[in-house]
Amino acid sequence: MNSFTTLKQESAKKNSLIDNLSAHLSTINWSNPLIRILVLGISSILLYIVISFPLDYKMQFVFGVAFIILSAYISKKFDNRFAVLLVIFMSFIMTMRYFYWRFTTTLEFESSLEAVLGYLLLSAELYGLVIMLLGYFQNAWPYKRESVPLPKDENLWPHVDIFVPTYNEPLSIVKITIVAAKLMDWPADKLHVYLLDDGNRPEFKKFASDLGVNYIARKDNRHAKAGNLNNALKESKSEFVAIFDCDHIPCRSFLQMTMGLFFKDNKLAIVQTPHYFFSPDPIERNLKVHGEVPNEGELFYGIVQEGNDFWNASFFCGSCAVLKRKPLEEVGGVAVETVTEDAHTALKISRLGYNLSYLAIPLAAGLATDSLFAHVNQRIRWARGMAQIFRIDNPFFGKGLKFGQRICYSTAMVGFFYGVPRVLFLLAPLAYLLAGLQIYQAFALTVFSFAIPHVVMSQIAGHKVQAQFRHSFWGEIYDTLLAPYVLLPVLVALINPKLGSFNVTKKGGQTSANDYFDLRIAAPIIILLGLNIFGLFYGTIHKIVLENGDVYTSLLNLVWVVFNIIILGACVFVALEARELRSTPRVQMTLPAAIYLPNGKTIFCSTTNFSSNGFGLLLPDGCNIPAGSTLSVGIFRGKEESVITAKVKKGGNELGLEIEKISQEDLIKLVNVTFSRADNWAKDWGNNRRVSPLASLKELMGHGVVSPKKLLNLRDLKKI
Amino acid sequence: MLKIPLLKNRYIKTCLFSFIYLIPTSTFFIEPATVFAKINTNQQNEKQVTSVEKDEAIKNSLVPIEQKPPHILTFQKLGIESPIVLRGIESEQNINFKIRSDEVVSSAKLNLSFYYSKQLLSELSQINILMNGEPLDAINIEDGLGGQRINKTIEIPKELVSDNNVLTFQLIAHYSKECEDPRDSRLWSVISNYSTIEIVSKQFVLQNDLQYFPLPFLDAQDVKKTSVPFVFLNKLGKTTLESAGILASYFGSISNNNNIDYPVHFNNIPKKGNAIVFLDNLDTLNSLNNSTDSSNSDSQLLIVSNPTDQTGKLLLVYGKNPEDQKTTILNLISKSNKLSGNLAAFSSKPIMERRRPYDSPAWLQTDGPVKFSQVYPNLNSLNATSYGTSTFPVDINLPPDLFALTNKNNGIKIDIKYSYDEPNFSKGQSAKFIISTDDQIIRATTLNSSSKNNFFENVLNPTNFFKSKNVENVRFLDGSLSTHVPVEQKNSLLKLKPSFNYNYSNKMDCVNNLMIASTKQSINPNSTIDISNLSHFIKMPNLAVFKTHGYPFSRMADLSDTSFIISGELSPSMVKSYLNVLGWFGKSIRFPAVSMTVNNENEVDQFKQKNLIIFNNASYNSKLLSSWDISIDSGVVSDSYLNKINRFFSKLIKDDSEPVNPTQNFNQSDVKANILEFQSPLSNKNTVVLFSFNSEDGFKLIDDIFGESDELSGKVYGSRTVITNQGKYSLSDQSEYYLGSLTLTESLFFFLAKYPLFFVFFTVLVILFLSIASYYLLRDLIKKRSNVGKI
Repeated sequence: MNSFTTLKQESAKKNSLIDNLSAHLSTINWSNPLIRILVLGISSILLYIVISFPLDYKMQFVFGVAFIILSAYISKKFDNRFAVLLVIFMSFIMTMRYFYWRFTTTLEFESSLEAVLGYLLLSAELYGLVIMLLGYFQNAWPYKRESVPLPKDENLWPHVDIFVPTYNEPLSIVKITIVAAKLMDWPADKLHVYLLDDGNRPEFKKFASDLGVNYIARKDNRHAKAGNLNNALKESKSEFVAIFDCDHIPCRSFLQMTMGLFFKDNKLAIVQTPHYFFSPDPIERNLKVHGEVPNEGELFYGIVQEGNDFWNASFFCGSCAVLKRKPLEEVGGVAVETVTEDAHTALKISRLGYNLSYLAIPLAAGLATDSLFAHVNQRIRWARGMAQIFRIDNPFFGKGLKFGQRICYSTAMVGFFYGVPRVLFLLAPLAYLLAGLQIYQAFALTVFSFAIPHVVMSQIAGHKVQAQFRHSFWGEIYDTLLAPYVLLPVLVALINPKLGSFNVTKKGGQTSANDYFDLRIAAPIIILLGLNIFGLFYGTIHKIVLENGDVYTSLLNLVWVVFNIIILGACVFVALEARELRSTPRVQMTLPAAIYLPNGKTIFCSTTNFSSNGFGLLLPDGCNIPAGSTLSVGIFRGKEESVITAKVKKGGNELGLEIEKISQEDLIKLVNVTFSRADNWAKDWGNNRRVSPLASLKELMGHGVVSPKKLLNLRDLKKI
Repeated sequence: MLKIPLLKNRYIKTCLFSFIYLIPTSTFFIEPATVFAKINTNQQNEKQVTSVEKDEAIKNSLVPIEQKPPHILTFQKLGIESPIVLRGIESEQNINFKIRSDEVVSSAKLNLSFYYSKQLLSELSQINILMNGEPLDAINIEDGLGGQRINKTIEIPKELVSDNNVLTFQLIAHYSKECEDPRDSRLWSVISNYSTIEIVSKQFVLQNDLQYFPLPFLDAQDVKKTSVPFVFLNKLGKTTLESAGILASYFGSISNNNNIDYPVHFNNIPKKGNAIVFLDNLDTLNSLNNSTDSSNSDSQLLIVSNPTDQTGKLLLVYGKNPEDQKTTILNLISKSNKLSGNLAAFSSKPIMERRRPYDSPAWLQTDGPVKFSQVYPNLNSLNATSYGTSTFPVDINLPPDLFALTNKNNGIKIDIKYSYDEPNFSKGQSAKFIISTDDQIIRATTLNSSSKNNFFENVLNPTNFFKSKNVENVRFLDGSLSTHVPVEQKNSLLKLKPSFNYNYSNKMDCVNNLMIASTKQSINPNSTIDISNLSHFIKMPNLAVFKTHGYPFSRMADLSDTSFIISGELSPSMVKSYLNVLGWFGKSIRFPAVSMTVNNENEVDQFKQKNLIIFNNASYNSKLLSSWDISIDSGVVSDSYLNKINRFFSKLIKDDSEPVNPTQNFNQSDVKANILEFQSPLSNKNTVVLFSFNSEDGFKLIDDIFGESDELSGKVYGSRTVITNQGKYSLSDQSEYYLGSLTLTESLFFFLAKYPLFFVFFTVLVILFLSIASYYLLRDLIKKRSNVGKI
């Protein structure tokens, strides 16, 4: 709506006619079914004309370039919803023109082998088209939800159960989460923290009873996390349930910010908040781009969930969310049929007509998966789970969903089926370069004239839609890296949803002490890269130098191969696991602190980072403290101060302190002023660097094999 | 019945490894692998006069035979536009030539000029020459003469010469006694197309019998220029002009090669030669009638000898009044096959079948799919035996106003069924079937082995599965292909070339001394070509399609919606030009203009809904033309303002209009005639072509243009052709208009294609519309979404 007023203001300056027009347009009841049908009908006719109008390749090229320039200009110049829609529709038309041309002219194959491969490639492209269209639909208008204040009267506030399920994670990690949960700003008698230990470990039980939180353990671990939660549901009774993974540390303001939404809408079943990670995911870490290039999660929680929320289809993501007990129990608790119980639960609740919501304020933070192996495993699980849901509870069918919800849920699921198409794209140019198969029957210049506007404008539109939450082309790395792995599980799950096993995402473990190359993960990528490099050389020599092929067709395929090599090259470097030094992850954060020296003097300084058992301090210039001494340090949260005694592990101007055998009391103090701070994560949210698609491609190339610098500096990789 | 003589004899189509035989009794001294068959000699307008018949005619003729000077025909004149190149181990090419039916050959010889490859083995190679299938001579290959020009004169026994003749050159070539590649580049011979056939013939005089008509006035087979004088003994009114015009167009429609000139004489019969005589006086008729037969009918036709030249004949077209004359002419045309005797009398006009638009026999029919058997001149050309490559070329004349959007799946629909010898895949062979036109490959498909590909067939019939794949006998497989050939309005002659191309691996086994075996291919005569779904739409004025197709007048083959307007004083030259134009119409349409009308310029009511062809003498002050505000003179051509704007926008991105040269440099006083085409001011669906003559020379120059071959007609285009003694200049100076109609989608696309900038604007508008609509729709939704739960 803000964007609309901006638009209005802008147009008013320029032309009162447009102003009048928009005023007139506003008076139309656009939700009227009759008007919708009318608009749909007119649009179909107009689109048919624009899409099917034949242009020769020169004209098509001019036409395409004209619209590339126009959409780039609009994209750069204007920043409102209307501009986004303009860019989306321009991209849509170019893409549809491409596909119309593709369908009508490029499928006259000369042999059956070419036909089979050609149709495979076409279906891969169609998959891309579907994902693109669904994405445009999904992200047409991200809903910027704001938090709703709670009633003044605290007596009206409901009871909330906090579930922290754990299975095999170390206590050092779970501890902070439980403490932070306990510290949440909520009437103490209405806040019930449950530690759900499927590992059935005595030290956990002791910790829980020491801290005074509920401890529930099961004899078996049927249905893993879902079963664990369902078990806890039976043994608790509050009206609301907040769920945190054991490594997601909630801020104290979590409930205060989220619960208000339930007061506003009594059909609301879930409030989901972003999963914020203070450690880099393996891809970020291995490519050293943490904080520079947004990761996958930031796209999902930055844009996709808000887009979903617009259609009332935001997901439950398993953690950092509040659920209403009644709807949850109505669907039989957390879903156990699939390995992605969270999404499936949300879908089931949605089918009953309850509303879902997403609040884009990071109110909890956690650890990203720490090794590539674990990351890949996690994505395989998600992909499998989504395929399972798609198979057994397809959102396109069944009762209770609105059209927008069906689209959004399907998008989320179909979005994980990229394995086969991605691998096909990586291999397709080789068909011509190595075997001379024309699996794409067209004159190469014509291909350029249709494909370039289609690809470029989808990047421009993607950039416009995803804005700062995803840099162009980086998604290719995530998809390409995982493609060989999700390919099979997805296929298996689609054929038989019951096959396959549940793999637990391992978190908080220690990554290797040395850099090492994860060959297990990289092997398929290296094979694909090898094929593409071979194709590049073979094609260049055989087709171009020895003139065995059509120059344009060869060039087209070589350009394609080069792009594949850039992406695959970057993926290979992801597999080069960087060394992680600390056993507990540290959060880089500057907080005001004071050191109380035994001589009664106080040094005011600031923290550089903190973890669950220590922190770093930056002393004022000239101050030095030697290692080995024990200091009393106060860390401030507003006017509140927590004083903690810690030992200096690393001396000098920049101190490294460690709390040996941290007491319960100290831990609470530490968490209170560090992890649990309300404003910790929100201030960085969405403040990503913005990079144009071209600059992004350049940066990406810097991480591929084309960068010799990278190869030389392998040993000097900067560690976190 | 071959309804469409698409293959103009001027372009004699020769096809490697295929034969055209006219004399079925021939025997052969070689063993060609080709399948021989008789050609269907069922062409309507060709009367076969055999030597026997001729001899009888000579015996019966009352008039002595006239010796004619030797006639020399170069191969080039016979349609062989480039030297004949014979390649490969066994190849041949045919040349067709014809002899006038009322001539008898007394001697003939062949003056050949040729080369052959140095590498040919003299003991195994030779060039055979066959005349109508009979061996004529053989050129023996001599060592040491390879690569040199050799001249040789061969006498042709006159018994071998008939009316339609096929001269066959056949190369049998070997470079080795061992294993040979039949396609080896050393195997060649070239025969110059400046080689000649020299014919000495005698003309005999036919009896006065209408059964020979159109002989002796015209021989449809003749390639020489023929003159058919028209004599008018009665007053020349518009109906007589119609009659004469219809007859002239009839002559045009039946002539195959020759250009016909129609000299006009008023009130006097030429002293020598043949003539068509129009008369309305019975006494004159009787005085010319030197036979015993006579009739009192109001419409009658009489063939008599020229009183002053015993070898000349007169065709007397009698009618008591002009309408009766027309009755006579129409009967002559519709019954030309059935007349006999020297006199024919008619009582009423024959019933003429109504023509449908675009049914000219010169064009591919537009009423549905047309079978290849009707498109190819003879069915033998659909079979071939080849080493590696075989092509089945055919020229197809299309209506000039076909329109199709440039999508690939749009255009002339072709469904081809074909058969071919299965390539030996196990030996690394492969084969392709390719459909191409003169300038582009339309579609290519790899020919598959049935055993490899028809997996499902194998599953259904498991016995196939266990058959050995090394079966030696080659299978003859069937295939089919459907495709669309894009329509190019600039070129309405579709040169379709289906072809087969076999590829062999480098390693080849030798069988019978040959590295590769010959393979058979054929195209099913039931294959079809279909233009019935295409729209007719063309930008006018377009004198180019007028010159090549008579369009738009020829849309109705009988010119039923065309009116010729001749006003002012009629001079013989004017009438001659009129007849020449009609003769040319008949030749272009291959149908006589039986329904055309001639009008006076003041009969506006009769012709205002018609296409008009106006003959105007510049000295005559035409009221019609002055009322139309048409600038006949072209000295300074004012480009119309609308045209300029139009062209500017068209040119902005795509320039498809013809070159306009208003400042063409010619001296106004040199202009002898103008041809002008413009939209009829009387009806916007009709077209006017104006022939304006500035001087007596103008008539002759116009006659030359419409008598000359199509190669020279390229200079006639645009909306105006200015004719001077120095040459022709064409330019576009008239307003554009369009004929025909398009479907709704096509018209929209056509408009957008014409103004590409508009398409960009249109797209922008569409995007704006979609964005605005979805913007407000989504805004409403988000309002609802934020109000969820609010009371």
